[in-house]
Amino acid sequence: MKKVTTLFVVLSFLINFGLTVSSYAEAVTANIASEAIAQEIAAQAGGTYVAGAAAPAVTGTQVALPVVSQATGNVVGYVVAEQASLVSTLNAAGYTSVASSVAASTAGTAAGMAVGTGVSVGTIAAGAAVVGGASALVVAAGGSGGTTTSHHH
Amino acid sequence: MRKSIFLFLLLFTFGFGEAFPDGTGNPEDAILESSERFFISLKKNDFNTAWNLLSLKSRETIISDIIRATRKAGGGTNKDDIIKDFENSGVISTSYWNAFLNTFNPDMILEECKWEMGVIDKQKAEIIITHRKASDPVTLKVLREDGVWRVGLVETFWAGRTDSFLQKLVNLFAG
Repeated sequence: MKKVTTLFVVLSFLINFGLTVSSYAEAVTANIASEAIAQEIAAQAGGTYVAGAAAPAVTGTQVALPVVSQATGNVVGYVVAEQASLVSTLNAAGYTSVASSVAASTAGTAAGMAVGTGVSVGTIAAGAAVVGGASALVVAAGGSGGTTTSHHH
Repeated sequence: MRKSIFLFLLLFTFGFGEAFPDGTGNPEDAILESSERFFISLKKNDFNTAWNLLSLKSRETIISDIIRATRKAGGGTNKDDIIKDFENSGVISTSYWNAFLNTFNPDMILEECKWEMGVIDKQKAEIIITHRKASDPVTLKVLREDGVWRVGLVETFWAGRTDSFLQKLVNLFAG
């Protein structure tokens, strides 16, 4: 079974000191100063930065971390990298909440699958994509340090 | 005679009360209500209520799973921070449950399954849940802790499948 892991952990970057995005309610976000920082994170994690709103295809244990414009609320790109590398890079860069949330998504995905499997008595639909983590991280604007808050609507 | 009747009623009342210490007189309702409410809370993204309806072992195991996944991915974390986060429906809790719900739809158990009461005693109960497409049921373990019936998610779905199976799933996603 093809392992496709998509993680919706959002890095929103500040363009115009705009207000909180509403598209990723209840998400945990990390604010970064510019898209260039997202590109740097991707590089440090050994991954790539994919510009554009369309979610990229991921393979194996890669995750796609959305980057959202705080001004418009739109996704402007994705950091695509192996999950372990991304967690490590985010931790090193100080985005520890984001990193912990990525790891929590991993555990949550496994747990959800275990429950679903248990209920269906081991039957998993053929071709089902393994999706990992649908949490958007919304981190309040606060400069390059990456302070975090969660936004609830 | 009156004394005998009085004593009989006294014994009957306290005896009955002891068998059903929650005072409802019908523990089945309390067990089913708690269990259903757990899955409904998840469906409504009321993660705080869902968390509080989990058994102690379930909560401890979930936290351990997250710590393991974090460390495996090269991150550092503090157990107390994670506990506080889940108690306050923080960012880690939200990420966990969102991911959980991304792979498990509560309607699968709420709308697509038949629920039947199984064994009940003072501290433990079982609900036999059969999915409409399944040939065999799953036995949901429910435990009475601090006077409240709580869902043994870990006791039901982690155990029996062997810890190694779940660990393999966690490892698979942790990379």
